[in-house]
Amino acid sequence: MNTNATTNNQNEIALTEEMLKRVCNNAKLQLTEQETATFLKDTEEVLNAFRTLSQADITKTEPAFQPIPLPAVLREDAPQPSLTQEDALSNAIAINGHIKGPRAI
Amino acid sequence: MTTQNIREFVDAVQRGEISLIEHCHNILNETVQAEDKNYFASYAGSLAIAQAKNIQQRLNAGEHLPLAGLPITVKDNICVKGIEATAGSKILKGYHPIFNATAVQKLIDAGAIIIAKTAMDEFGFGSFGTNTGVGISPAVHPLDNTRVCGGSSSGAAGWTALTKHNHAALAESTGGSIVNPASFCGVAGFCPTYGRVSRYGIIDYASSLDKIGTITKTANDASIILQTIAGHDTSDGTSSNTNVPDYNSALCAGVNKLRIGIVQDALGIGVDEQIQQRCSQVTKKLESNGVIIEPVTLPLTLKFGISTYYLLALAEASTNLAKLCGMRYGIQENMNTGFNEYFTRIRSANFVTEAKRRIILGTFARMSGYRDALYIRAAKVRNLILQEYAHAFKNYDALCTPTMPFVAPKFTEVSRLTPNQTYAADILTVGPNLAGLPHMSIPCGTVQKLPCGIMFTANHFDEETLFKIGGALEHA
Repeated sequence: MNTNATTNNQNEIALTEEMLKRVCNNAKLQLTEQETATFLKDTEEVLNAFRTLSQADITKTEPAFQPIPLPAVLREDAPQPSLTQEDALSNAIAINGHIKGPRAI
Repeated sequence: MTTQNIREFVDAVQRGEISLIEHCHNILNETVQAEDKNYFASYAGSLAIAQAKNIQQRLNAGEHLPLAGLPITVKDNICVKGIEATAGSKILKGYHPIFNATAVQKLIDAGAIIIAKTAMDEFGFGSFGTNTGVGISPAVHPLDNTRVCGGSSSGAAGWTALTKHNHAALAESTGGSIVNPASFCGVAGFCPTYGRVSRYGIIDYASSLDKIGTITKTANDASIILQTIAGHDTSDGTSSNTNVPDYNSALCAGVNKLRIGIVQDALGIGVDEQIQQRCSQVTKKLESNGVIIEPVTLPLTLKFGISTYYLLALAEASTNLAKLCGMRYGIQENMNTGFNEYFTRIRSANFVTEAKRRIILGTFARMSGYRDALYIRAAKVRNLILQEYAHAFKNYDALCTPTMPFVAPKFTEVSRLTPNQTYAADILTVGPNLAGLPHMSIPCGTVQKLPCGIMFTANHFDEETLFKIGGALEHA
């Protein structure tokens, strides 16, 4: 199938090997050949189970992203004590007061 | 010294009948002696002794501490300042939080002593405690080394069942991770309403589903801990400012005229017949105490719950785990390569198979082109499930099912399960978790000499009804 296609039909959804590579690239994961074979098989079974949701009548239903209504979640924009630099760096590999990371370019 | 319950223990400490420092040494020794059970991710050691000394000083100064000297274990995905927190994963090895989770801070303020962090499935990704991180051995059942404790709060339940000391475990549930192992190990699991207890300081699995709760020997003990940790927290935008009632009063309030619906469609899905009989004996006991017992059905929840839960949980997990990449905290290696190569190498080597599977499924469910058909559809079905529960609670104060369909399985049995069969084990627990409803598992006897549990679910913020039921059963 066209991996760029948009679908609302669950029966059209499948995780092909090509799509699995694309997903892994997005998720920053590299699978072994064994993992790839296992996941392709497992994932098809799991997606099959997910397809049962197409039987639910959701035509007049809004999505519920939270289980309870949330009040305004922003606190007052007032200054509060913050971390010291020492604390902020205490779990990191730090160089000259900065967190060390891999090369960006 | 061991007393009937937490309250009596704390009273004995307040009266000076228990030497806190000696008691702390004893229980720390006990945790080390249980090392072969794999219940602990790390030990508080000298930090616990320092806490005991501090509490003794506060007591000597005349301070009243409602949890004075009570030993507490904390699931490894909840942050305790200065004690390694890995959420059961190698990728977080070496991470020492610089702050306490709000629930932990409240317990410390009340005089409790954190003695250890408990083992779990990596990030909570499991129902049996067997999906442990790279190089980590799974917790074994307190009564049978060939069987699992359940998951994902495996260490919390196993240790609570094993220890002879008064103790409470802080645990966490996303889809059933408190009541599941509580049922398998024969202890009380209590998961409050979403928002009742601050989530600040949790290493997230799925932010719209994660809840901090307790695993204790009794519902009575659970009420004391919830009283301490419940309440609004400005550090957690999803915590609720709903009034926190007196749970201790609820324990003694009785259950006369309470209406409990027995979820009929939960019984026809492969639940062990002997477990059904044990649950039936419990509901008959409640009936004799004046409870009105009637059948009820939750067809949408039972049919769509598993798929809805896993789609939403995995989608959220795939975003929450994106931050774990081998810099800032946890595992950090030679960074002389490009970021893409480095992040991929770290994540591929340090997540176990199940974590990778869940990240892949969750990433897929959120991808452009599939989001509407998977993630959004699941969120809409969640709304249908919420509506189904709301309708049921118009007629009933609580709903009842067995907690798990079977007793603790053997490791060999779990190893043969496909992912779908593993996910299906959560059929009875995902409903209340998807709906953010408070639920409680309490022991209801044994089958094949192994414990099983009965689960009660109440309406949002009605934890009192659960404590009424727990109190009535424990006092009977």
